[in-house]
Amino acid sequence: MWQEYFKLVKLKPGKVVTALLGEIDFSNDSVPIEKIKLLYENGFPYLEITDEGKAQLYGIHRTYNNNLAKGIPKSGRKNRRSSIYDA
Amino acid sequence: MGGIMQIVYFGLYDDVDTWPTKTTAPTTLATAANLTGDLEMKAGKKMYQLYLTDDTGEFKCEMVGEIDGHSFVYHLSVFHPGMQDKVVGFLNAIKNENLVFIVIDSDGQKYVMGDALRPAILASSPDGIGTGKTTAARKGVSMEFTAKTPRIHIYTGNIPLTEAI
Repeated sequence: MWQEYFKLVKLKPGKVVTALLGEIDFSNDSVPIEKIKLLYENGFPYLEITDEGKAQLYGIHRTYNNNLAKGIPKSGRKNRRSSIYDA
Repeated sequence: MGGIMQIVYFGLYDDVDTWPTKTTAPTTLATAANLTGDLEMKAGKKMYQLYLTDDTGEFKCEMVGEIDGHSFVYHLSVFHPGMQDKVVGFLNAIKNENLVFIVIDSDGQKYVMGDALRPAILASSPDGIGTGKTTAARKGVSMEFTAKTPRIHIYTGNIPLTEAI
């Protein structure tokens, strides 16, 4: 379950004695997501959040085209504004 | 509450990749004690667990040196029950080896024996290694590890028991 939302980094899956919650077996996908989330939010260095985790747990959705989403004009138009005709 | 947990964690000194860091300019007494960051092992290396009989383990900080030149020696003494091949092999492997230990006391506070400059070593066997004389005697391995340190520090990081990548 938690492995959909986070991935273990810098270590092979297995046990870690965490400073916050004691020993946790990260090869076990049934560790409660609340525990994993708590570790992540407290800077546990061996967890990274997945895109699915960002979306499901924090409501952050991936944007596929930032320029279109933000309405930023194409580079050609931007350049025209800084030409000699703008002076 | 006194005493230490029934497990201590150890690794080979040369297998350590990153050491937790000491605060260079502490602003409070607590930050003068606490290390920051994790003790991380090199790729393919890990830390291990050593079991000890309850109430046989002790972690002590001995103050050494003269006035204006004091430092400390950490002492970790443990008794591992039995003379199984695994513990005998452990003794043979580490008797002259440079080591690092993480010890957790009964309140959950952690201490690292060894730092970037100096390792922990097996210093002696204060209660011996053997069978005992009587059938009721305690058979097993007594070990004392030491590490020299300029200051006493508390470890606030994690202890990975699986191989680093």
